[in-house]
Amino acid sequence: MILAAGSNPFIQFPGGAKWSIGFLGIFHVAVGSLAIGFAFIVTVLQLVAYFRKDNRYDLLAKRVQLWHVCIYNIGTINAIGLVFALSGLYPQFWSQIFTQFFWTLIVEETLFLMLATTLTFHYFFWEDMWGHKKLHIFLGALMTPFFFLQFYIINGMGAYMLTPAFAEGKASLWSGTAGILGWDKLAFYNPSFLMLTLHRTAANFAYAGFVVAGVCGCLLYLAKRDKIKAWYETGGRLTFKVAFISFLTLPIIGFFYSWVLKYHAKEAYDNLMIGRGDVVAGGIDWWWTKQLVVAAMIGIGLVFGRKSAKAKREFAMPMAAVYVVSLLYLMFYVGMATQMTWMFLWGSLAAAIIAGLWASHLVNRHGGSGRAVFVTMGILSFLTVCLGGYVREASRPRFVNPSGDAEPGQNRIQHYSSVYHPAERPESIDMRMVRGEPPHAAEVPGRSPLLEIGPETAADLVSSRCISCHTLERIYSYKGTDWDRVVGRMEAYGTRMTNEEAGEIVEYLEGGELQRNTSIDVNDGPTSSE
Amino acid sequence: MSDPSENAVSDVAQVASPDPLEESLGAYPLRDASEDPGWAIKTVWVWLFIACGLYVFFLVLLVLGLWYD
Repeated sequence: MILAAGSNPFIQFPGGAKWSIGFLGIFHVAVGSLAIGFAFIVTVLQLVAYFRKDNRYDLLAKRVQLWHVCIYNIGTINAIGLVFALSGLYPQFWSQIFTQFFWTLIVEETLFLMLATTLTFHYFFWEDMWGHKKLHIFLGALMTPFFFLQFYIINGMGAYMLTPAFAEGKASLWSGTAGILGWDKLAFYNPSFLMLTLHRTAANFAYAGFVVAGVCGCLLYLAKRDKIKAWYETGGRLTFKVAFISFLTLPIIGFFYSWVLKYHAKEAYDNLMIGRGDVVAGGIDWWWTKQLVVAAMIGIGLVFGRKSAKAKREFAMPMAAVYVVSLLYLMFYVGMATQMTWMFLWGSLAAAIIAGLWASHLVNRHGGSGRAVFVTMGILSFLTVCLGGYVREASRPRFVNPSGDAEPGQNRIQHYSSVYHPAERPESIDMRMVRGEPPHAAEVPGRSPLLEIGPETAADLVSSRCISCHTLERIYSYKGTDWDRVVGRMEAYGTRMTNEEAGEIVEYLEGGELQRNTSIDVNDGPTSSE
Repeated sequence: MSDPSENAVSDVAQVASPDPLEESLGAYPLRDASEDPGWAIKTVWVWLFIACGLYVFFLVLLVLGLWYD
């Protein structure tokens, strides 16, 4: 049986294998992020209720936890669907992932069990634990660190797919570690791991908060009684405030995240930032659409904050904070524009101002109630999660054929046929902020000529291909001589190499030159059956 | 903007039939700990020990994973 090679799907799926994976993936992100954020929002609401001795917030927390129970079930079933789809359509994917991350996936699965049980007890024992309220709040609060650990683990694998950490792998080849199969530290703690984790943490809180406020906004439209209206209004304002504070961190974390991608996932960075349809080229693609939506949300949040502070509403931001944040973000966007494009600044500013004016109108229209703003932000927040999830996955170099050509059976996302144009990139990159040549250009010393890069040797091939999954130490310590079979198995695991390259690697390893060049005493290495 | 006559109608309706949900929005209904069913509290305590133990175990694994791979 021949396993699917490279990016070819093993089983053809109606409509395209990658679209089915993409849909399941985005759906999972949209639902999973909500579940994580809901856990945090429930704790915030329960704590406010406890300290204020106000049952309205506890009642809202219970409602949110009910939505959480539903969402968690849907998200978990969807996750299993994603695993099934990946296993059938891209079997080599799990072969590779399990080789590197088996133990982390086992921890992940156990955390699913812990979360489902904790959630069940927290919701269904709500009425039974009124006399033990602090214990009940603690039980619910425990879900946030559980969730954090869960997406900490999944982020190691997700970030690895974007930034596989080749450079770090080369630097620590001689660390003398034990070589545990199923735990690849260097791959797990890859360059974009930290930024992805920080970004997702804040994004989950913001997304869930805006969605809860959005649902409160919808219920405000339906409510007839004043007391019920006041309940939804204050609940919406509280969750909106929590969400907006978390949301404000996102552009700043995102900025540093993009810097990591720039140096560790250049193709993905280029696909995201300077694809053909972006603002530099006078177009708008999905990535830039998301950025404009983010700018619009900042505008709406600040205008709503200002109006709430002016009217001295409950859970309003202090007026000084509104002005300080406005100024800070204006400076931040100017700073980003100097590094990217002024078009980005003008587009974002326009989106923020227009959206802010619209928010002001909506608040006036509803006599000071935030209902329409809550609903708008809930929808926009959902949009940013879907757009961000899509572009991040679609930007991966694996979606781009190395030759840049569409091939029958490769099942590439067609959109990328018009985004990824390496030949056109040099023109698009021209983003100097100075018009024409600066006067001191002649005084700048010329760059030293680029180093000549020689042809790839068999040793280079071993270094670049093999260490994408494991260290070279495993090769040194291997005592068998059946390198042909070993390399064949690695191909089945998903190592990308041509037949000629595989032949060169086998010949090189059979020659034993690699072992001769190392100072490791192979007799001390672990005995491998492979 | 809502119609004033609409509000008047809704005010009359509110007085006529008190909503149980509306009533539960009042004071924070804390009760004595002894009134809670013991089996539920015991179950939660047992689960808390298991869950916290597992959590600490996973953290230790992650920390150990910084030295061994």
